[in-house]
Amino acid sequence: MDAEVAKSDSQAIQLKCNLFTLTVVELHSTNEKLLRKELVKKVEQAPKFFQQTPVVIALDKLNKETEIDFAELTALLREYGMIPLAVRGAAEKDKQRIVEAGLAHFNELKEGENDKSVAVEKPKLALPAANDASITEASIRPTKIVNQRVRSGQQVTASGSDLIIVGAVSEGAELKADGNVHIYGNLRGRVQAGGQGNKDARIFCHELRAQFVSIAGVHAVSDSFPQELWGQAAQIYLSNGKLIVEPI
Amino acid sequence: MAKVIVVTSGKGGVGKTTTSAAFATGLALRGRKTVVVDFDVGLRNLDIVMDCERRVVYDFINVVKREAKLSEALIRDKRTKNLFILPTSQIQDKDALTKEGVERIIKELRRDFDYIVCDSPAGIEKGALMALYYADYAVLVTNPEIASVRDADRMLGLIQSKSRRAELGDEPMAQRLLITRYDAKRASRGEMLSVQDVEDILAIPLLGVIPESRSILRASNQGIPVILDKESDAGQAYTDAVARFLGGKVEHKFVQPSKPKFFQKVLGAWA
Repeated sequence: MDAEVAKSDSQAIQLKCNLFTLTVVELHSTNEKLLRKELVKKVEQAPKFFQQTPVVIALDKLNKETEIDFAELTALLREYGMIPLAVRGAAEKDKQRIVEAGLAHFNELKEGENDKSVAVEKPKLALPAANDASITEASIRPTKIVNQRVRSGQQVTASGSDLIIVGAVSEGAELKADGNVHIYGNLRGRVQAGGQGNKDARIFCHELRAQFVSIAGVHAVSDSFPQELWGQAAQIYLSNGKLIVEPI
Repeated sequence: MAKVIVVTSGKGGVGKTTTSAAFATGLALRGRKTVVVDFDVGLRNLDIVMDCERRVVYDFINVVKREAKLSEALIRDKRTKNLFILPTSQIQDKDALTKEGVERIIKELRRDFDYIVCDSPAGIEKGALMALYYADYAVLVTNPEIASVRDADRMLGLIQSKSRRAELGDEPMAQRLLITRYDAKRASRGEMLSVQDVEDILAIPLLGVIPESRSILRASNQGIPVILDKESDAGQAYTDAVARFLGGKVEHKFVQPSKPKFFQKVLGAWA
């Protein structure tokens, strides 16, 4: 064992980012009896659903002043088969006690977000943080940069980051990125930005002649672009669920 | 140092074999010892265009399978000095081409020849990939129409990723554009893509523009590479392309619609 440790210079651990869909248990009350009653009802409806289900406890709907015993709450949820991972929307005063109860805390929902499509902020490592800024910085993935034109039949993907193409994108070429896509050249191919449901992602290009563009799954084909922007420098973004094509 | 040239396109029927025959002949005429190799296993045409089909005893595939020596399969061209043809098999298919076999033959040819011209089959399957794998220089043949330009673009992407040079991380293969069946008049009327349009899409240097010409079909059927036809405008265009390939500076003809001006006629005859 020790020999193995001494010998091994390879990584035993690799840190990776991943997005998970989690079930959120939104509390509208802290009355234990009431909670228990509701839980019994829910478990009866879908017993399988509550077997070893990781959940996030959401306090958004509760008054910030409410006193909550997190250890007790965790035990209660565990009793019904759930595995609480974290608390969302906790008041500042509660954060210490949440950590003590072995849970992580997530920030509150932002305006306009909803539980159905929101990607829960990825759990930060449970290490004592020197300062918050360093963590934020580390979680930004470097932009993927391609320094040549992307030809027909070629596909470039940038998972978890932005994508920059310094050159043209031919017809029949395909770009996919979870973040923004910048094309410093003629865009004739297909582009999907905002993979993983990132609705804030945008597409920028020097000359818009795209066959197909999509942001967070909302797509448009070349026929539907405004005529006057064809061949022009343009940016494409989502506004109220609609794709907007605008000159730059 | 011997150079391997692949004549390729992606799309079929754009003039790869015609170009291979003309280009190889042109290089031989300029004193370079040249061999033209047919990679279109199963659909061999090069021997017909070069008028040597009746002289084929052994072929490329026989050599790949070590059933014959390279020297037994090489056919010396009857018309042009310094020119040899390595015909392929009409019976076998592309799977008969193995990387090891092709590598061995290319290596051997490099020792004896200045230029090895590989006539690629259409498509992006094994035959085409083998034809481009060992190349130092690619001639992309395209017609001035969208489908063939798109396929050429696809082929350029494959050269970028699937060639030996790409795999080894060597200096990238040189790539040149040859537009065939060009009709300057129709392009000026917008009936076909212009040279400029094709250059914009493919973004590689232009080696030549071969005009649409009756002489091509005649040459193919007679088995005489069109470059040997001194009267033919297409033959002239191939001669110029070969000169450019060898480093000469020759102005592109047949790009503009011809204007019947006396002055230009005289200049044209001189160029």
